[in-house]
Amino acid sequence: MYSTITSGFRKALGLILFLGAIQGVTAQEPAAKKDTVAVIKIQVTGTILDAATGKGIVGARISLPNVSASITDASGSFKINVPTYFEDLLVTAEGYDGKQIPLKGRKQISVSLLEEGYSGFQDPLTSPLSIEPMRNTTSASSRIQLSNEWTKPNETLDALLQGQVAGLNSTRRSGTPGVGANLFLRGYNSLYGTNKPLVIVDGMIYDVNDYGQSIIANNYTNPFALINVQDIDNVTVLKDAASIYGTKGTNGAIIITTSRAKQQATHIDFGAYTTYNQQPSSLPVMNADDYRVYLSGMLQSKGLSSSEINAMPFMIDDTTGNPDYYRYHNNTNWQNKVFNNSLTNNYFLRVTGGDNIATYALSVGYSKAEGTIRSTDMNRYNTRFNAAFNFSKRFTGSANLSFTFNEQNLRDQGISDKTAPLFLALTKAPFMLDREVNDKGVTSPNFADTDILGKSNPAVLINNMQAFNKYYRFSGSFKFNYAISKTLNASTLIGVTYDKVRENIFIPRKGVADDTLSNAVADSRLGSQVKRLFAFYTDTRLEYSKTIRRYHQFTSRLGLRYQHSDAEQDYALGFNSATDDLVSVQNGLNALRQIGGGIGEWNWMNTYFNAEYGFKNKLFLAFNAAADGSSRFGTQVKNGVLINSNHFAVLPSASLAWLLSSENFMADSKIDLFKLRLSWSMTGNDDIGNYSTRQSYTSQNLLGMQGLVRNGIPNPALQWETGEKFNAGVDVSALNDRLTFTMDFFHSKTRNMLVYENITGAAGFNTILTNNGSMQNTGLEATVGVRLINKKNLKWDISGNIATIRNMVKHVPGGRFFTEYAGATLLTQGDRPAGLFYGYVSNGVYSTSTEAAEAGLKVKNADGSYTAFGAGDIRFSDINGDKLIDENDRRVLGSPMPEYFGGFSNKLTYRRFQLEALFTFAGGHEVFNYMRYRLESASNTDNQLNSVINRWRAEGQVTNMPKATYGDPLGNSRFSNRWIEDGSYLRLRHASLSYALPVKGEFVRNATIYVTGTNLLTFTKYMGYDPEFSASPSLYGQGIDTGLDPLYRSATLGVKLGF
Amino acid sequence: MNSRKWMIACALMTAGFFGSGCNKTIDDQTAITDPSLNKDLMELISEKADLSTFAGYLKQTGYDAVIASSRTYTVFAPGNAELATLDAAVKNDAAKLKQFIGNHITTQVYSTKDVTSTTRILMANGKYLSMNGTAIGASLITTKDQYAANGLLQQVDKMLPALENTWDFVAGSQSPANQKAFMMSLFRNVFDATNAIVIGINQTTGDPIYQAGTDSIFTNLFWNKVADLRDEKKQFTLFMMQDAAWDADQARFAPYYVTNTADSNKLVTGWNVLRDLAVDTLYEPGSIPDTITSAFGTRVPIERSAIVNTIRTSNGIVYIMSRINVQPSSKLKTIVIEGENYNSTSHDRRGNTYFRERYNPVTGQDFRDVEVFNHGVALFNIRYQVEEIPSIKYKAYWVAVNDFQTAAFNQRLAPGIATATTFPYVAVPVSNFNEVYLGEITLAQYQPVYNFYLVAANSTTAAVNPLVCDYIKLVPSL
Repeated sequence: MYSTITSGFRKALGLILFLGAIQGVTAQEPAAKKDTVAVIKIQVTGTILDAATGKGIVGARISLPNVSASITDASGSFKINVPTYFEDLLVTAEGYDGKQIPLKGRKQISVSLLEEGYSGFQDPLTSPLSIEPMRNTTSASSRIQLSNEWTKPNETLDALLQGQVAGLNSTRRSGTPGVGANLFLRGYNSLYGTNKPLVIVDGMIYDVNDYGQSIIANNYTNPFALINVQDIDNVTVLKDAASIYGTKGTNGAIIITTSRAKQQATHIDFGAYTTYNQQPSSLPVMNADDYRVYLSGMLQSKGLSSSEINAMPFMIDDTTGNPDYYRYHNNTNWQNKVFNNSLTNNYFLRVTGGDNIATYALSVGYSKAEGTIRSTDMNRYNTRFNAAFNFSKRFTGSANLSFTFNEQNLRDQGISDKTAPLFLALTKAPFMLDREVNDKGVTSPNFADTDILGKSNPAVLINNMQAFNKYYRFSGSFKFNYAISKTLNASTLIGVTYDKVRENIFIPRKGVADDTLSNAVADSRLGSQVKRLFAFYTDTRLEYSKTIRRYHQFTSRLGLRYQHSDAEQDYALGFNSATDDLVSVQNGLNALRQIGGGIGEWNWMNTYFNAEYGFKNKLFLAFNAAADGSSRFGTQVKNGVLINSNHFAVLPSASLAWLLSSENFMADSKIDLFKLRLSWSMTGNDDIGNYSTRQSYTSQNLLGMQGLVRNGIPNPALQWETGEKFNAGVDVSALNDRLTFTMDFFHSKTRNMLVYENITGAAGFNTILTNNGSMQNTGLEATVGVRLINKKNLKWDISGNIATIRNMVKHVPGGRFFTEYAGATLLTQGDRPAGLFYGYVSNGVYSTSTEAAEAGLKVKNADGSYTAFGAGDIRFSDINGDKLIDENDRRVLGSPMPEYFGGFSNKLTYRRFQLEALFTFAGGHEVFNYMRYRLESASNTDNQLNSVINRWRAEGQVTNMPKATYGDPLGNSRFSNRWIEDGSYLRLRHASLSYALPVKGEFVRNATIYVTGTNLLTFTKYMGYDPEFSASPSLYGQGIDTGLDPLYRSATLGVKLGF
Repeated sequence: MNSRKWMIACALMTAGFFGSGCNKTIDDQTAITDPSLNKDLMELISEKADLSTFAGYLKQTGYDAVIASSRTYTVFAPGNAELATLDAAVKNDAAKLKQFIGNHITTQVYSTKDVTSTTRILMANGKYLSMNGTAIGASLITTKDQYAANGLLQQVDKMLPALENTWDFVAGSQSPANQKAFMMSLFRNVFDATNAIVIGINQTTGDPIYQAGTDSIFTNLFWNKVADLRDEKKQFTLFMMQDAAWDADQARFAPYYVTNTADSNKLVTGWNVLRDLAVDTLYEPGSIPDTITSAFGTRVPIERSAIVNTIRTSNGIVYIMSRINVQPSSKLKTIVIEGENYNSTSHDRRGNTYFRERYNPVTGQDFRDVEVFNHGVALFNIRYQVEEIPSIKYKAYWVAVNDFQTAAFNQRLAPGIATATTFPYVAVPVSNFNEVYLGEITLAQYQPVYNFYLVAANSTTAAVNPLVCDYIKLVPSL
């Protein structure tokens, strides 16, 4: 396969090189003519002022590149000779933010410069192929400078981007250290393919895919946890025109640049931080007394007789007749046995420096983060080495090497009723104790076993369960650059990624409820898993760049990317080791051992062509095209180009930017910059499965015999999903750059969207993957930044962004389908947003039997009989009016996708103090409170929320909490709007105060101390621990609170020293 | 500088954030909305003026703490007017009062809507009451289903007196004296190792040696063998015959239970009469059938006119009868001995013994029998042990199916001892599936244990001396 692909590519490459050559020839034609040398005869005068003080800046540099230059005098005045009054002057000054000033016919200008580090459209943006000022870009991109993010050492980049980029919805998964966030850039683009943006670190694709589930329940190994945010210099979020990445670009791209030496002098930066993590506030579950009343009713409803219930050890209230009295007469706050306050420590050291041959940046870091779930933590050891070399004048190179090792102690979380400590803490009977107690009430240091109601002991899971996750990644690349001529440049990048995840679990027998396997009862559970990824990546390109007559800037690139990935997952699960001291997987019973895994190997080749044209620094055009081949594509694909029997996705894009503010008619305007952008692009998504287009087999165990069975029906016509994107945007900067504003409208459409299509039962399988779906997103984004106060000692910046997105499924086979997750039903239907909650509608509780009889509703039981709703049951809406509450009475209950989200921040600088605050928000969406669904279902002996005390108990009682019935025969707790809540929130995500110590010594250059708070305040109506959670990367897992470890509040005290 | 102020402000702000831990919405959701759910049953009862007497008694008996605890209860509370008529004997006796108040409290929630068929509910004093809708015991619930945090309050129109159980009634009753006397005479010490203290082990047998007095319990045979009339969980109907009727019945049945002594004759007769007089079913006076079948299969005719008195107890009902005319034919049963259920054989011939599954074309039913073939022993026999045979005349029959050889052979039934010649040898012809009449036997005395033998021919020849038997039937001949 590989050879055919490469031969196919060779042909494709040949074709594109040919086209590129024609382009190159036509481009070079004017270059062959003699370049016009500007005649410098006109003078422009002006002053360069400090925007804060209004005083002139001495020594500011004014230049017209390649033509003339000048320096300001003591009063900040300058004179410069220019060829015409229609040039763009560059103004730079030490300690100030540089500016490009279009003269627009003016003979005299006055420019105010803001301090260095002020973010505006003059900042350089790292785009896929180059670094250029944001004012020149044609695409919708955001830039985040991270060099100030030392105050948040415990964040991962995905979570850190929350609220900082309009249109990037970052939802943190849980409160587990390092678990990060799910990223959706401009909505959902795929139902079953990935929705993750492509991540590029220092020019190389950074793999953020999932290679097989964790064996630790609902644990997610986050590749972003392998990047220390302190190592990151800046991030570009590319929202459209990502066709340069071919079939990997449909979800946009996040381009990360790690820090490197900026000067040749040696600099040492050291940071040390300690963070206090506060345990989340408890959910109000019933105390021992209320629970016992509830439990009596539940046991009665289960059918136990009075004497049986009276004989239960927890019902006998005297110590004499009941040897178990002390075991069953406590009031334990189980949540306190699971949560704790914890500490996180973080140390970081970076050395940069070099000489004129080579510069380097070397960093090492160590952090130990304890979770707020007891016994969980994460240790990270990371190192990164970036170097740049000047081998010769023309031959340069760079190296980017990083190695990170993470070690985590974890616990099961989410939907794992028998082993997740948090769920157990909420549902375990409060009259039990975590320790063994003897008949006299003396507590033992040993933990109590599974209780009389069959509940595991959460304290056992905290203390005796083992769940380790060790993962590391080596990522390294070398880039070589050769300047063939002044206009022609060749470069190549070669990199590898080696990634390994190792997990071990042991769940003891004592204190944990047994699990049931298909052929045995599992008491202790053991497991081991290894996931490996090896990826090889190259990116080779030829770049032609030429400026003709100073006004026509032309750049073209032709390149080839190739990626080969090889992933493997192997796991072994064991059960029933002889004792709880035998914890490794080989000690499980041989007969019960389960061994499995998967392999995935794929190739991707991306040939790209780019042409950019800039006219007079005010009109910019760009054209990109990619031709992608992949081992994943089928052999009978209908779209694309067929070369040597391989199908290539051809994905073009075009974009335009017009700087109206550089036009002469805006010479006297207060508006510093006004730019219009338009782009249209075709992108693709190759996440269709490595082998979905081929016949494959999977191992299956039938009565102890191992064999191979067909793994579904292959679809050789399966192809990439096609994304078509349109973007229109405007960038504005005014009031001497103190006001910046960006607004984008976008419309994207996914065609050939991957769907599971039902097939006839005779095929032996239910579904087949096809490209028969389509979906679209329409949205609006706005970002605004204002410097409110700009004084010498007092500066106040506020900024904010907001995005709103309307997602719409256009077509799916069969018109609609349902997806079940965590008890929720999600609807996907044409002309509606994807993944809507779809369930029953409840309207309170029948207070009396008469009311219930008047309504006359009933349910059909499994045996075909009917049961009528009675007093104390939920009053469900009979939507179709047939007096029967069944699946036809469901309707859309809401969408988990936020209607709007974003963030706003404040930065106040007073002398040496700096106060920063970032608020994030998301709103207009509904979430399914699965935890409340479990804690208010009142259908079993699990402890419940205090609200269940309000349950219906007797005729005439008016309440909205239905009666407690064992097994819930009428389905009062079915998926309905009872559990759907408003998921909107506004959160003070970060607040930090820093103080730069006045240091004078020669040894220490600078010293800053920080106090930072994270997740300090949350305003929400949500009733669970926290309104932010994400149970799965799938769009069908969003907005469902499965009880993952909640987010928590923390405070960091830190110091950063520079030498 | 004012950096200290900054620090303090910052520290205060941080402390403020960390202190604001509560979540308003979930607190709203979980707040108790109904004031009734903040009260326990005792508080609810104390609030009601009409229940002040009842509340007083609850305090007096200590039940106030019980119904304020975190278990669930239903309290059936009679009003002050009803309780005013409470018998002084109960009122002034702490134990009796506790028993009485305990009869108004149950440890579960019983709502009038949920209990739609007669349900026996366990009261706090260990007795049961029947509830159905708004009926509880002999009372009616007037103000129903008032809820509190830990259960329901039902106000009733009458007191719920704690009745004595059937056995306590028998033990405490004066008449009918003779049946009572006989019932009370049935107390025995019965071996029971439950609470025995082992003081050693028998070196020879390995059996435990118990401390004297700990290895038995003093119990009544009637409780063990007929009905434990003390059991509050069940409901019994007990018939007590007036002395004249009892004595007449004793005389009537005495000939069927002839023994060596007059005392034992009286005991056996009395037991056989008594055991059919109690059943663990409640028969209400209004719906009592004309014939009741006892646990021993005896048909007991009940003439309503013979019911002299009806007494309700906490676990059933007692009828005092002037006459119960049980027919001897009902009491004296046909004895059927299954061939394969023998107790022993004269010689170990397990290798020659066959248990056969056969189909009987005469009855149209399957049966199982025993066949011993080629055992090589002259006069080989099989022993059957029968217990408690009344002293009457029986007609004997058997079904013996010879389908294994073409020649007939002889076998005989020998009562008492194997050599008895009461019955002659009877030929077993080929394929006879009918009952064969063997003759008559009269037992002069009631036999607690009696043996019957099936004896083979006096021959060692296989074809001559087989034994085969489906069953032996002894039909009383009155």
